[in-house]
Amino acid sequence: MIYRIAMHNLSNPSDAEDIVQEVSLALLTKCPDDKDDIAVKHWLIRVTINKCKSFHRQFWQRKRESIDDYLHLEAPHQRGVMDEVLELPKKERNIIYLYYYERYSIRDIAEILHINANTVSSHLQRARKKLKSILTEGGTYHD
Amino acid sequence: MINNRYTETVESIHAPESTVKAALDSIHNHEKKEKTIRMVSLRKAAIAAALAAVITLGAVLGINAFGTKSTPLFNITVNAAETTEKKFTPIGNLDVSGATYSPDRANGQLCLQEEFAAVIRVDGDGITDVAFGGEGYTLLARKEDDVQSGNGTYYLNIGITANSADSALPEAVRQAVRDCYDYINTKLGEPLLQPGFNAGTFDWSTSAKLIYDTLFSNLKITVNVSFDNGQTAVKTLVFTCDSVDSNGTVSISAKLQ
Repeated sequence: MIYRIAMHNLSNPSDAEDIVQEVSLALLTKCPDDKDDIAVKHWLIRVTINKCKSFHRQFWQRKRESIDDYLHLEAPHQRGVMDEVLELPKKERNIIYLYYYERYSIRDIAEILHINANTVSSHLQRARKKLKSILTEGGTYHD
Repeated sequence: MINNRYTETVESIHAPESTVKAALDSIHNHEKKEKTIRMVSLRKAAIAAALAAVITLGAVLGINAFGTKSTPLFNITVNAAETTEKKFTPIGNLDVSGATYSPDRANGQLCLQEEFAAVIRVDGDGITDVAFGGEGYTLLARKEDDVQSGNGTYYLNIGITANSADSALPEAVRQAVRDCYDYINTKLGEPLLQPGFNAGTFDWSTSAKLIYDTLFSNLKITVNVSFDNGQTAVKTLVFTCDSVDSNGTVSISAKLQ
Protein backbone atom coordinates (compact mmCIF):
# COMPACT_ATOMS: atom_id res chain seq x y z
CA MET A 1 0.00 0.00 0.00
CA ILE A 2 2.76 2.43 0.97
CA TYR A 3 4.69 1.69 -2.21
CA ARG A 4 1.57 2.05 -4.37
CA ILE A 5 0.70 5.41 -2.82
CA ALA A 6 4.29 6.59 -3.25
CA MET A 7 4.26 5.52 -6.90
CA HIS A 8 1.06 7.53 -7.42
CA ASN A 9 2.75 10.61 -6.01
CA LEU A 10 6.33 10.32 -7.20
CA SER A 11 6.13 7.99 -10.24
CA ASN A 12 9.75 7.07 -9.59
CA PRO A 13 10.45 3.58 -8.20
CA SER A 14 13.69 4.59 -6.45
CA ASP A 15 12.00 7.50 -4.71
CA ALA A 16 9.06 5.29 -3.81
CA GLU A 17 11.44 2.80 -2.18
CA ASP A 18 12.95 5.63 -0.13
CA ILE A 19 9.47 6.61 1.02
CA VAL A 20 8.81 3.02 2.10
CA GLN A 21 11.90 3.08 4.30
CA GLU A 22 11.03 6.46 5.80
CA VAL A 23 7.45 5.49 6.55
CA SER A 24 8.57 2.18 8.09
CA LEU A 25 10.79 3.99 10.55
CA ALA A 26 8.14 6.64 11.22
CA LEU A 27 5.68 3.86 12.08
CA LEU A 28 8.09 2.53 14.63
CA THR A 29 9.11 5.82 16.20
CA LYS A 30 6.14 8.16 15.82
CA CYS A 31 2.90 6.22 15.49
CA PRO A 32 0.83 6.61 18.67
CA ASP A 33 0.55 3.23 20.32
CA ASP A 34 -3.14 3.41 21.19
CA LYS A 35 -4.34 2.97 17.63
CA ASP A 36 -6.08 -0.14 16.33
CA ASP A 37 -5.10 -1.66 12.99
CA ILE A 38 -7.58 0.43 11.01
CA ALA A 39 -6.36 3.65 12.59
CA VAL A 40 -2.74 2.62 11.97
CA LYS A 41 -3.55 2.09 8.31
CA HIS A 42 -5.17 5.53 8.09
CA TRP A 43 -2.11 6.99 9.83
CA LEU A 44 0.19 5.24 7.35
CA ILE A 45 -1.73 6.64 4.38
CA ARG A 46 -1.48 10.19 5.73
CA VAL A 47 2.20 9.91 6.61
CA THR A 48 3.04 8.40 3.22
CA ILE A 49 1.30 11.22 1.35
CA ASN A 50 2.92 13.87 3.56
CA LYS A 51 6.36 12.38 3.08
CA CYS A 52 5.82 12.34 -0.69
CA LYS A 53 4.90 16.05 -0.54
CA SER A 54 8.03 16.98 1.39
CA PHE A 55 10.15 14.74 -0.82
CA HIS A 56 9.63 17.10 -3.74
CA ARG A 57 10.99 19.99 -1.72
CA GLN A 58 14.35 18.32 -1.18
CA PHE A 59 16.86 19.97 -3.49
CA TRP A 60 18.84 16.78 -3.93
CA GLN A 61 15.87 14.90 -5.43
CA ARG A 62 17.36 12.42 -7.85
CA LYS A 63 16.86 12.39 -11.60
CA ARG A 64 13.61 10.77 -12.70
CA GLU A 65 13.76 7.47 -14.55
CA SER A 66 11.23 6.35 -17.09
CA ILE A 67 8.27 4.61 -15.51
CA ASP A 68 8.38 2.05 -18.32
CA ASP A 69 11.72 0.69 -17.15
CA TYR A 70 10.78 -0.13 -13.60
CA LEU A 71 7.12 -0.66 -13.01
CA HIS A 72 7.18 -4.27 -14.23
CA LEU A 73 3.50 -4.06 -14.99
CA GLU A 74 1.88 -7.26 -16.04
CA ALA A 75 0.66 -6.07 -19.41
CA PRO A 76 1.81 -3.30 -21.77
CA HIS A 77 -1.61 -1.60 -21.85
CA GLN A 78 -1.29 -1.00 -18.10
CA ARG A 79 1.50 1.48 -18.73
CA GLY A 80 -0.98 3.59 -20.66
CA VAL A 81 -3.36 3.39 -17.69
CA MET A 82 -0.72 4.68 -15.29
CA ASP A 83 0.28 7.41 -17.73
CA GLU A 84 -3.30 8.68 -17.64
CA VAL A 85 -3.41 8.51 -13.84
CA LEU A 86 -0.10 10.33 -13.49
CA GLU A 87 -1.44 13.24 -15.55
CA LEU A 88 -3.91 13.98 -12.76
CA PRO A 89 -3.01 16.44 -10.00
CA LYS A 90 -1.61 14.57 -7.00
CA LYS A 91 -4.64 15.23 -4.84
CA GLU A 92 -6.88 13.58 -7.40
CA ARG A 93 -4.52 10.62 -7.82
CA ASN A 94 -4.56 9.88 -4.09
CA ILE A 95 -8.33 10.16 -3.87
CA ILE A 96 -8.81 7.91 -6.90
CA TYR A 97 -6.50 5.31 -5.31
CA LEU A 98 -8.23 5.42 -1.92
CA TYR A 99 -11.70 5.31 -3.46
CA TYR A 100 -11.34 2.69 -6.18
CA TYR A 101 -8.53 0.49 -4.93
CA GLU A 102 -8.75 0.73 -1.12
CA ARG A 103 -12.60 1.11 -1.31
CA TYR A 104 -12.88 3.91 1.24
CA SER A 105 -16.02 6.03 1.29
CA ILE A 106 -15.90 9.76 0.62
CA ARG A 107 -16.38 10.39 4.31
CA ASP A 108 -13.54 8.03 5.26
CA ILE A 109 -11.24 9.65 2.71
CA ALA A 110 -12.08 13.09 4.11
CA GLU A 111 -11.20 11.90 7.62
CA ILE A 112 -7.97 10.20 6.53
CA LEU A 113 -6.74 13.18 4.54
CA HIS A 114 -8.14 15.78 6.97
CA ILE A 115 -10.04 17.61 4.28
CA ASN A 116 -13.67 18.52 3.73
CA ALA A 117 -15.90 15.75 2.34
CA ASN A 118 -17.19 18.15 -0.26
CA THR A 119 -13.63 18.72 -1.44
CA VAL A 120 -13.17 14.97 -1.78
CA SER A 121 -16.36 14.76 -3.86
CA SER A 122 -15.20 17.56 -6.14
CA HIS A 123 -11.79 16.02 -6.74
CA LEU A 124 -13.36 12.62 -7.33
CA GLN A 125 -15.83 13.97 -9.86
CA ARG A 126 -13.10 15.77 -11.78
CA ALA A 127 -10.84 12.74 -11.82
CA ARG A 128 -13.68 10.45 -12.89
CA LYS A 129 -14.37 12.60 -15.92
CA LYS A 130 -10.75 12.47 -16.97
CA LEU A 131 -10.35 8.74 -16.35
CA LYS A 132 -13.78 7.60 -17.47
CA SER A 133 -12.51 4.97 -19.87
CA ILE A 134 -10.26 3.20 -17.37
CA LEU A 135 -12.61 3.46 -14.39
CA THR A 136 -15.81 2.17 -15.92
CA GLU A 137 -14.59 -0.63 -18.15
CA GLY A 138 -15.30 -3.95 -16.42
CA GLY A 139 -16.75 -2.29 -13.27
CA THR A 140 -19.22 0.26 -11.91
CA TYR A 141 -19.10 3.26 -9.58
CA HIS A 142 -20.02 2.21 -6.05
CA ASP A 143 -22.26 5.21 -5.29
CA MET B 1 -11.76 -3.80 -4.93
CA ILE B 2 -13.75 -2.63 -7.95
CA ASN B 3 -12.53 -4.43 -11.06
CA ASN B 4 -11.59 -2.03 -13.79
CA ARG B 5 -8.46 -1.31 -15.80
CA TYR B 6 -7.19 1.11 -13.15
CA THR B 7 -7.49 -1.27 -10.19
CA GLU B 8 -6.07 -4.17 -12.19
CA THR B 9 -3.08 -1.99 -13.02
CA VAL B 10 -2.57 -0.90 -9.41
CA GLU B 11 -2.88 -4.52 -8.27
CA SER B 12 0.12 -5.38 -10.40
CA ILE B 13 2.33 -2.73 -8.72
CA HIS B 14 4.47 -4.36 -6.04
CA ALA B 15 7.34 -3.11 -3.98
CA PRO B 16 10.52 -5.02 -4.84
CA GLU B 17 11.29 -7.83 -2.36
CA SER B 18 14.58 -6.15 -1.55
CA THR B 19 12.67 -3.03 -0.44
CA VAL B 20 10.37 -5.07 1.77
CA LYS B 21 13.31 -6.94 3.28
CA ALA B 22 15.20 -3.69 3.91
CA ALA B 23 12.16 -2.20 5.65
CA LEU B 24 11.76 -5.26 7.87
CA ASP B 25 15.49 -5.29 8.60
CA SER B 26 15.24 -1.64 9.71
CA ILE B 27 12.45 -2.55 12.09
CA HIS B 28 14.34 -5.57 13.44
CA ASN B 29 17.53 -3.56 13.97
CA HIS B 30 15.67 -0.73 15.69
CA GLU B 31 13.91 -3.11 18.04
CA LYS B 32 17.10 -4.96 18.91
CA LYS B 33 18.55 -1.72 20.26
CA GLU B 34 15.69 -1.41 22.76
CA LYS B 35 14.73 -4.93 23.64
CA THR B 36 14.87 -8.42 22.19
CA ILE B 37 11.46 -9.25 20.84
CA ARG B 38 10.41 -12.48 19.28
CA MET B 39 8.93 -11.57 15.90
CA VAL B 40 6.29 -13.56 14.15
CA SER B 41 7.88 -15.41 11.28
CA LEU B 42 6.39 -14.37 7.92
CA ARG B 43 6.49 -16.32 4.72
CA LYS B 44 8.04 -14.71 1.68
CA ALA B 45 4.75 -14.74 -0.23
CA ALA B 46 3.01 -12.78 2.57
CA ILE B 47 5.83 -10.24 2.65
CA ALA B 48 5.64 -9.60 -1.08
CA ALA B 49 1.85 -9.45 -1.17
CA ALA B 50 0.98 -6.65 1.27
CA LEU B 51 3.77 -4.48 2.62
CA ALA B 52 1.58 -2.33 4.88
CA ALA B 53 0.01 -5.34 6.60
CA VAL B 54 3.42 -6.87 7.23
CA ILE B 55 4.85 -3.72 8.74
CA THR B 56 1.75 -3.17 10.85
CA LEU B 57 1.87 -6.69 12.30
CA GLY B 58 5.60 -6.63 12.99
CA ALA B 59 5.98 -3.05 14.20
CA VAL B 60 2.87 -2.94 16.38
CA LEU B 61 4.04 -6.06 18.20
CA GLY B 62 7.34 -4.28 18.81
CA ILE B 63 5.73 -1.04 19.97
CA ASN B 64 3.41 -2.76 22.47
CA ALA B 65 6.38 -4.56 24.03
CA PHE B 66 8.00 -1.22 24.96
CA GLY B 67 5.34 -0.37 27.56
CA THR B 68 7.13 -1.62 30.67
CA LYS B 69 8.12 1.76 32.11
CA SER B 70 5.69 3.74 34.26
CA THR B 71 3.47 6.02 32.19
CA PRO B 72 3.91 9.75 32.77
CA LEU B 73 0.88 11.51 34.18
CA PHE B 74 -1.05 14.38 32.74
CA ASN B 75 -4.57 15.77 33.05
CA ILE B 76 -6.87 17.06 30.37
CA THR B 77 -9.60 19.63 30.87
CA VAL B 78 -12.04 20.49 28.12
CA ASN B 79 -13.73 23.87 28.35
CA ALA B 80 -12.43 24.14 31.94
CA ALA B 81 -14.02 20.84 33.04
CA GLU B 82 -11.64 18.08 34.09
CA THR B 83 -12.19 14.84 32.22
CA THR B 84 -11.94 11.38 33.74
CA GLU B 85 -12.23 7.79 32.63
CA LYS B 86 -15.02 6.99 35.05
CA LYS B 87 -17.89 8.89 33.50
CA PHE B 88 -18.87 11.63 31.09
CA THR B 89 -18.29 15.14 32.45
CA PRO B 90 -20.49 17.98 31.19
CA ILE B 91 -18.31 20.50 29.37
CA GLY B 92 -20.88 23.14 28.59
CA ASN B 93 -22.53 24.11 25.35
CA LEU B 94 -21.15 23.37 21.92
CA ASP B 95 -19.38 26.53 20.79
CA VAL B 96 -20.40 26.50 17.14
CA SER B 97 -18.21 28.64 14.89
CA GLY B 98 -20.30 28.07 11.79
CA ALA B 99 -22.13 25.57 9.65
CA THR B 100 -21.97 25.12 5.89
CA TYR B 101 -24.55 23.26 3.85
CA SER B 102 -23.42 22.14 0.39
CA PRO B 103 -26.49 20.92 -1.51
CA ASP B 104 -26.61 18.75 -4.60
CA ARG B 105 -30.10 19.73 -5.63
CA ALA B 106 -30.17 17.50 -8.68
CA ASN B 107 -29.90 14.43 -6.44
CA GLY B 108 -31.59 15.78 -3.31
CA GLN B 109 -28.44 15.32 -1.25
CA LEU B 110 -26.31 17.63 0.78
CA CYS B 111 -23.21 17.79 2.91
CA LEU B 112 -23.28 19.53 6.29
CA GLN B 113 -19.98 20.71 7.69
CA GLU B 114 -20.13 22.16 11.17
CA GLU B 115 -17.27 23.83 12.96
CA PHE B 116 -16.99 24.26 16.68
CA ALA B 117 -14.31 25.38 19.08
CA ALA B 118 -12.99 23.45 22.07
CA VAL B 119 -10.53 24.65 24.66
CA ILE B 120 -8.33 21.77 25.72
CA ARG B 121 -5.83 22.25 28.50
CA VAL B 122 -3.10 19.71 29.14
CA ASP B 123 -1.37 19.79 32.53
CA GLY B 124 1.57 17.71 33.65
CA ASP B 125 5.22 17.90 34.70
CA GLY B 126 7.89 18.13 32.04
CA ILE B 127 5.64 18.39 28.99
CA THR B 128 7.55 19.41 25.89
CA ASP B 129 5.02 18.85 23.11
CA VAL B 130 1.35 18.11 22.60
CA ALA B 131 -0.05 16.75 19.33
CA PHE B 132 -3.64 16.00 18.44
CA GLY B 133 -4.85 13.06 16.38
CA GLY B 134 -7.77 10.70 16.30
CA GLU B 135 -10.73 10.33 13.97
CA GLY B 136 -14.16 11.62 13.11
CA TYR B 137 -13.06 15.23 12.77
CA THR B 138 -10.87 17.63 10.91
CA LEU B 139 -8.65 19.92 12.96
CA LEU B 140 -9.19 23.25 11.26
CA ALA B 141 -7.03 25.51 13.38
CA ARG B 142 -5.22 25.45 16.66
CA LYS B 143 -3.89 28.23 18.82
CA GLU B 144 -1.51 27.55 21.67
CA ASP B 145 -1.18 29.58 24.78
CA ASP B 146 0.76 29.25 28.01
CA VAL B 147 3.08 26.54 26.73
CA GLN B 148 6.17 28.08 28.31
CA SER B 149 5.34 26.64 31.71
CA GLY B 150 5.30 23.12 30.31
CA ASN B 151 1.52 22.97 30.33
CA GLY B 152 -0.58 23.98 27.41
CA THR B 153 -3.93 25.49 26.61
CA TYR B 154 -5.02 24.73 23.08
CA TYR B 155 -7.87 26.44 21.32
CA LEU B 156 -8.98 24.00 18.65
CA ASN B 157 -11.38 24.67 15.81
CA ILE B 158 -12.86 21.34 14.85
CA GLY B 159 -14.90 20.38 11.79
CA ILE B 160 -17.38 17.51 11.75
CA THR B 161 -19.27 16.42 8.66
CA ALA B 162 -22.58 14.73 7.89
CA ASN B 163 -23.17 13.86 4.26
CA SER B 164 -26.63 12.72 3.26
CA ALA B 165 -25.12 10.88 0.28
CA ASP B 166 -22.96 8.81 2.60
CA SER B 167 -24.58 5.37 2.80
CA ALA B 168 -22.48 4.57 5.87
CA LEU B 169 -24.74 6.94 7.86
CA PRO B 170 -28.13 5.60 8.99
CA GLU B 171 -30.94 6.83 6.74
CA ALA B 172 -32.64 8.54 9.71
CA VAL B 173 -29.54 10.71 10.23
CA ARG B 174 -29.26 11.50 6.54
CA GLN B 175 -32.92 12.49 6.50
CA ALA B 176 -32.40 14.67 9.59
CA VAL B 177 -29.65 16.56 7.74
CA ARG B 178 -31.98 17.29 4.82
CA ASP B 179 -34.81 18.28 7.17
CA CYS B 180 -32.67 20.66 9.22
CA TYR B 181 -31.51 22.32 6.02
CA ASP B 182 -35.06 22.78 4.74
CA TYR B 183 -36.21 24.10 8.11
CA ILE B 184 -33.63 26.85 7.78
CA ASN B 185 -34.60 27.40 4.13
CA THR B 186 -38.24 27.83 5.20
CA LYS B 187 -37.30 30.45 7.77
CA LEU B 188 -35.19 32.31 5.23
CA GLY B 189 -37.67 32.00 2.38
CA GLU B 190 -35.11 30.08 0.33
CA PRO B 191 -35.94 27.22 -2.10
CA LEU B 192 -36.40 23.85 -0.43
CA LEU B 193 -34.32 20.78 -1.14
CA GLN B 194 -37.41 18.62 -0.49
CA PRO B 195 -40.57 20.09 -2.06
CA GLY B 196 -42.91 18.38 0.40
CA PHE B 197 -41.10 19.50 3.57
CA ASN B 198 -43.40 20.92 6.27
CA ALA B 199 -41.63 23.20 8.75
CA GLY B 200 -44.77 23.43 10.91
CA THR B 201 -44.50 19.82 12.07
CA PHE B 202 -40.71 19.66 12.21
CA ASP B 203 -38.99 19.06 15.59
CA TRP B 204 -35.52 20.65 15.38
CA SER B 205 -34.35 19.34 18.76
CA THR B 206 -35.01 15.70 17.90
CA SER B 207 -33.43 15.85 14.44
CA ALA B 208 -30.41 17.85 15.55
CA LYS B 209 -29.80 15.46 18.47
CA LEU B 210 -29.90 12.53 16.06
CA ILE B 211 -27.22 14.18 13.92
CA TYR B 212 -25.01 15.13 16.85
CA ASP B 213 -25.36 11.68 18.46
CA THR B 214 -23.96 10.13 15.30
CA LEU B 215 -21.22 12.69 14.73
CA PHE B 216 -20.01 12.58 18.32
CA SER B 217 -20.10 8.79 18.46
CA ASN B 218 -17.45 8.85 15.74
CA LEU B 219 -15.41 11.65 17.31
CA LYS B 220 -12.22 10.65 19.09
CA ILE B 221 -9.53 13.21 19.85
CA THR B 222 -6.22 11.65 20.85
CA VAL B 223 -3.90 13.85 22.85
CA ASN B 224 -0.28 12.77 22.40
CA VAL B 225 2.08 14.25 24.96
CA SER B 226 5.88 14.25 24.89
CA PHE B 227 7.94 14.72 28.06
CA ASP B 228 11.41 16.07 28.70
CA ASN B 229 12.60 12.61 29.80
CA GLY B 230 11.95 11.29 26.30
CA GLN B 231 8.76 9.44 27.19
CA THR B 232 5.43 9.89 25.52
CA ALA B 233 1.89 9.21 26.64
CA VAL B 234 -1.49 9.41 25.02
CA LYS B 235 -5.08 9.78 26.13
CA THR B 236 -8.22 9.75 24.03
CA LEU B 237 -11.20 12.06 24.47
CA VAL B 238 -14.67 10.93 23.45
CA PHE B 239 -17.80 13.04 23.46
CA THR B 240 -21.54 12.73 23.73
CA CYS B 241 -24.43 15.07 23.02
CA ASP B 242 -26.55 15.46 26.16
CA SER B 243 -29.34 17.53 24.69
CA VAL B 244 -30.41 20.04 22.06
CA ASP B 245 -32.95 22.62 23.20
CA SER B 246 -35.58 24.36 21.09
CA ASN B 247 -33.16 27.23 20.41
CA GLY B 248 -30.64 24.80 18.98
CA THR B 249 -28.24 25.06 21.93
CA VAL B 250 -26.26 21.83 22.20
CA SER B 251 -25.03 20.54 25.56
CA ILE B 252 -22.13 18.09 25.43
CA SER B 253 -20.04 15.93 27.75
CA ALA B 254 -16.61 14.37 27.43
CA LYS B 255 -14.61 11.61 29.03
CA LEU B 256 -11.32 9.81 28.63
CA GLN B 257 -11.51 6.49 26.87
